[in-house]
Amino acid sequence: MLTLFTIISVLVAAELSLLRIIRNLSKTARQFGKGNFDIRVPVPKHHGELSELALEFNSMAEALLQRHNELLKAHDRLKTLSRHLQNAREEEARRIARELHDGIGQILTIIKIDLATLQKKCLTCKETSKASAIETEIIKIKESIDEAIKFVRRISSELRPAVLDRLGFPSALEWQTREFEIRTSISTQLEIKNIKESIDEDISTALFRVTQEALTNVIRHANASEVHISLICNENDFSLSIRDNGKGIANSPPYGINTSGIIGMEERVRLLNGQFSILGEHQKGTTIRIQIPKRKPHRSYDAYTTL
Amino acid sequence: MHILLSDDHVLFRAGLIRILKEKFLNASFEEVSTCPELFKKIQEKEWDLLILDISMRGQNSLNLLPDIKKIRPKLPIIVLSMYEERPFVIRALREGALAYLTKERASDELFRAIDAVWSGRRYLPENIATQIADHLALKKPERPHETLSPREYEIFLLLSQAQSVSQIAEKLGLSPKTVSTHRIRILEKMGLRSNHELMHYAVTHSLSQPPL
Ligand SMILES: Nc1ncnc2c1ncn2[C@@H]1O[C@H](COP(=O)(O)OP(=O)(O)OP(=O)(O)O)[C@@H](O)[C@H]1O
Ligand SMILES: [Mg+2]
Repeated sequence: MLTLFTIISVLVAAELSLLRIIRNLSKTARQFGKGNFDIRVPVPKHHGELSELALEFNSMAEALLQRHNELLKAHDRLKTLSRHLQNAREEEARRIARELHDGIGQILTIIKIDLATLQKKCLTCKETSKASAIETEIIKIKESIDEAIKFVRRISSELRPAVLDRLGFPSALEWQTREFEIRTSISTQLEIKNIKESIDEDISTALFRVTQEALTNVIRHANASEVHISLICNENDFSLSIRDNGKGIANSPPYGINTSGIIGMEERVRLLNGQFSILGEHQKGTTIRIQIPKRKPHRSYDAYTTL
Repeated sequence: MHILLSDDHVLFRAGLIRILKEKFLNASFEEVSTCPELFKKIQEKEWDLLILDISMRGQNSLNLLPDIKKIRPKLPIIVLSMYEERPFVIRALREGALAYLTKERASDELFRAIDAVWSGRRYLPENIATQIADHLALKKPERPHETLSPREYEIFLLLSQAQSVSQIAEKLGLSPKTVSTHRIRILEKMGLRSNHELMHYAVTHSLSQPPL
């Protein structure tokens, strides 16, 4: 009788410890699933298969943690690379814009001056009929040069407007808004508040490009008659909003197939640790809001500067 | 006669001096190509004319204009730049330049600009004038409540204070039917749908006072 009791109690105790091990295991698995990647199960001794299971679990956890860290690193590298590409592209655009404008543009103006001198010489020429024929040609060439200069100006300004680099973002925004209004006859209100300091270059670029894309979208998709833009300098960040009264964007991503406009805006803002939102109200309009903190994020892409 | 040419493009300066010399035989020319050099020359002596490029070796010469004006308030300044965009023109004129010319117009219009500034007049070529005119011609968009007639605005304000149509009718000595018609017209004009939206509009635009 006693032995039977002993046997039963030993069995029950064994059963209980098994239960505890299994409970432990499942609790740990749950914790792990919630993102606590450092957690491990204690490996029970003398439990054969259960011990093995615990060991397996721990080694799986180890592998997953490693994978997770690799992913984080890869993500960081991608972000860094993306920021670098963004900067490099902008820098390239600025360089080409400047070279076109200040290089080719100015050479064309010099040719015009030379032609003017030539034209004067025609006036003192003896063979008047020949001279006037030459003069007509010169005038034609001057007109072609003017066309070429217009072209250079347009491409240069589309690549990267000098107003932004020379006069700063608030002036550029004012100009961009009025040009938009003149070009489209969409009535546009602009409100700029509290801007006293000069705005960091990367932030200026982001604000300018976002506005540019937003206004392009208004022309292409919104069917709006009014746009309201506001730029406010808060204590710690800049906030910019662009609101139209058009048909309103559908309210969930993806917003377009194979399009890069909205994704690009979001990316630019995110790379500066900012916030981006786009909100559509059916037949009432679309509002884009962004906020960019004033301090620049830590520049950590030095490793890529040789790319 | 002393003419100061400030431009970082050597060939352009040379071309300019060539045409200027033909016209102003007795003039003496000096050239600078950076902002600090320019400022030094300005301090040195009186000039009869400054021809100024904006972008010089990466610097914006317009930033110097206030200081130049302080030292030489009467110096006639002609800005001669590749930039055609309106903000540059406005900035230059505000800071005291008398004329603004884009470079491709130098050969045809520089003498006209010089004549103008020497007789104390401003000079803007047609391309620049057009841009500024486009800008000025833009109508300031009316905000919805600015489209209301004075009577409608009066009723709008009373409605925004949550007064009923009959209360308003009594106050203004009108029939309720007239007020009601006005109300519908107001909502239509402003693109609103209910008294509730109207009140909300009044609050967000801080419209509790009658207009001056
Ligand atoms: N202001 C807007 N009003 C209404 N719909 C909009 C507006 N802006 C964007 N959309 C919708 O969102 C979609 C995605 O916009 P997105 O800017 O990403 O791409 P896209 O303009 O079509 O092409 P792109 O890559 O050249 O910018 C648009 O195709 C359009 O349907
Ligand atoms: Mg787009």
